[in-house]
Amino acid sequence: MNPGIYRPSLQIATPPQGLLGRPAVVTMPLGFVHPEAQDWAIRATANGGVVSSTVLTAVSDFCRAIDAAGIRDRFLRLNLFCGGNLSGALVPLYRSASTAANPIGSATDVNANFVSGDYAETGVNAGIKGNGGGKYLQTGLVASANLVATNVHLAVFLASPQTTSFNYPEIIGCKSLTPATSCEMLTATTSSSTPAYFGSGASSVSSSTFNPSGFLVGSCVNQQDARFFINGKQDSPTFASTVNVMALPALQFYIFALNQANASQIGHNGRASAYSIGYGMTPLQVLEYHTALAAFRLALGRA
Amino acid sequence: MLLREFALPVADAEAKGYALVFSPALAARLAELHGQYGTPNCVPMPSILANGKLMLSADILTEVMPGGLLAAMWAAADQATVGKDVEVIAWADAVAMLPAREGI
Repeated sequence: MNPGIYRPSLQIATPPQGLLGRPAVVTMPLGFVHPEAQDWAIRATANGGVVSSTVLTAVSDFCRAIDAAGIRDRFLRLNLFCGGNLSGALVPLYRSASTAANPIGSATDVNANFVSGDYAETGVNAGIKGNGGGKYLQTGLVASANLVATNVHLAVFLASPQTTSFNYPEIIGCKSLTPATSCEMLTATTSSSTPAYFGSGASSVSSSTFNPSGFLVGSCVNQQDARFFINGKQDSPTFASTVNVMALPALQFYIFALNQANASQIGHNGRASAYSIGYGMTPLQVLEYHTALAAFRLALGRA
Repeated sequence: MLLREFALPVADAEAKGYALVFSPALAARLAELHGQYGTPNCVPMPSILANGKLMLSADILTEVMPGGLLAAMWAAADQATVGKDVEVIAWADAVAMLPAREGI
């Protein structure tokens, strides 16, 4: 097991002392960097990022919070959009449901058209800003190969909402035309008939709130239970599907746009500062995830 | 306005007010150059407009200067040809030509 990075600043004030012979001071680190945070930092740096100690500590604490909540296995891919610059921010923290599993999806989010000016790591404007017109990320995570319609979540932290009034701006999704099936999350402005929406091949659910920002999660844990959450709270009816369960599209998820038959469609112009794709979450698990992400955001001055 | 009339370097905020419009043939040439000199950290992937032409936000030009994510690709490009084959239009006009979604 990787013991992590020793950080002298986290030595305990009164270290434990030897048990045999004359007592001697044994320097012992209290804090370790979480192995997954350390692994991410190495990958982000290799991709051109710059990982500060503040960010590394915040990512490490986030990993610990996720572990402590017992929800690590809910994530197939998670990106907190940090790493000092746009290149670093393209490196996801999680790429599989556990450290023992083989990574899936692209090693980095492939950046279609975002530029350095679209990105900020810290502050209230942190995240990557979409433009609603062709900027998106390719995850390489193929829906049908890794998920089933009755056990899936999509999540994004939208620091700012869609600002242009057009229908169905997509924040995460993929959709095949033949057969017609999708797995997606979108928001809509008040001019649309549908508020925020989460749908998979098994079910779909709409939020009560139009054009929301904040922490948005769509989750389906079985065919009788799909929900939309905003900032950790359920914001939709619990949807029980009566239709036949569809296979998910054999397409990769895009972020900030819909991957419709391998072409980007319907971009989003909000600012997102994190996203995840994975298995379904219960309301309590969503709340735990929200709490961990809120602490991370606070540590980076994003809140 | 053509790209050759567009002053570079350009600030990000100003560039976001414009779109670059060009033909599929030029897009193919640029994609080939990106394959040789580019990185997955910034891939120009144009959107198709209703008139069949392709479009990118002009802020992509902020990455072609030295140190930018597309500097190597731009340095290898035939900039004179690109400059006369790329039209610069208002961003709002380009967005209006993007296909709309009719339903979920």
